Amino acid sequence: MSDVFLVLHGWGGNKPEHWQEHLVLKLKNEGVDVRYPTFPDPKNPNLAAWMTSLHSVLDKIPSDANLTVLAHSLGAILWMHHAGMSETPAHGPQAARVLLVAPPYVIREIPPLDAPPGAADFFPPPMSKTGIAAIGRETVIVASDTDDYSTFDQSSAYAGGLDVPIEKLAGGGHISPYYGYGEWPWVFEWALGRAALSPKPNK
Amino acid sequence: MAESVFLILHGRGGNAVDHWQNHLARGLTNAGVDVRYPRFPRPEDPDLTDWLHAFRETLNEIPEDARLTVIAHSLGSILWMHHAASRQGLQADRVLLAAPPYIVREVPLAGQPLGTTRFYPPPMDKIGIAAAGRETTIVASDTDDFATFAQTEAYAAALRVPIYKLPGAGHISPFYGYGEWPWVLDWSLGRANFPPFPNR
Repeated sequence: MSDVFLVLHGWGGNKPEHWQEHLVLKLKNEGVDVRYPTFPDPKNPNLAAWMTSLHSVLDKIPSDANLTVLAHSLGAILWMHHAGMSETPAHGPQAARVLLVAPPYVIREIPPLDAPPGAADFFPPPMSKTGIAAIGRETVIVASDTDDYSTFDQSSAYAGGLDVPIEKLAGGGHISPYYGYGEWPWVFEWALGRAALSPKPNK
Repeated sequence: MAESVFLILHGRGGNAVDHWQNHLARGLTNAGVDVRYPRFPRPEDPDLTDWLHAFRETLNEIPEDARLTVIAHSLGSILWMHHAASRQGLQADRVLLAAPPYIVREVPLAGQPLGTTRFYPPPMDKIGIAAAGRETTIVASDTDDFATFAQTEAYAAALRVPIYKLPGAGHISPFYGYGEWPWVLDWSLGRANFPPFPNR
């Protein structure tokens, strides 16, 4: 059974210093199978287009793969939409582990000022406990208490709605390079099964 | 000269004794001014229709020519946004909206009663807001569990009103050091200006 790692970026795509970029690079250096799709027009995300893209990536993953998913920001919201459509999984294998990092909490009609057009349409994501369990054996939300896009209580509402655990990364902001999450050693170690939860913050 | 009237709008749960709005009501009463401080129906499990009804009854009792100052907190601020969108009633002179929560109706926070979620999303009626109050200001903190400052800025931008940050003030409630809040009394009485002065 082969290991496959699927990395889902957020709105705007990722700058070179983003932890997901470092993660992909280091996983490739380990010689493992990494899938890191760039979603269509990342600066103007469209839910239907992103979902089509995600499904086609998932369809190419071997059904017996040991799949780990690492999603950030809008990528985590995309995964929740995928869950809402997947009470019976139709695309790819059930993931063994899913890490949803810093999902934004957005009122569709009143999005934050710096959200790109189209992003608001991703909200609210469906809260499908059945779907989230069907597409991932173990799903965990990681969120901080200093994220401009979500308070920790708001992120906890996602965790409650999806019936998954949540871990706090204190002071991690949006868990992006600006907040010190360029290279993030813990996430690499976790991906390879060499570190457990709780997540270890960068300092 | 028009008479000054002060209208205080509480949030969900009503206010604990030590809440700054209780101190404010007392401080204003002691200053001899006209204070209206309605208690909304079933504050623990708010119903938007009932709250709006109670609010309008209070508003209708205020003389048309009054110089009205409104001081709202939390869900009371959201109530004001609903009122503004109805485009009814007299125009307030000054409106202070403190710590409006930012809640996704379909994904409410743990412990929020169902009735509360129906207050969201509040209408973003910038014309209604301008009609309901000559001068409206949002005050919010950057450590509020119910809204990030960036989320509250989205309200301010959509309503075309200024916003001030009260750093580290949480939900601007007694738990975060906002029992008695000298600045808000002084501001109400026209003795202090923006920006708001935080409690330490």
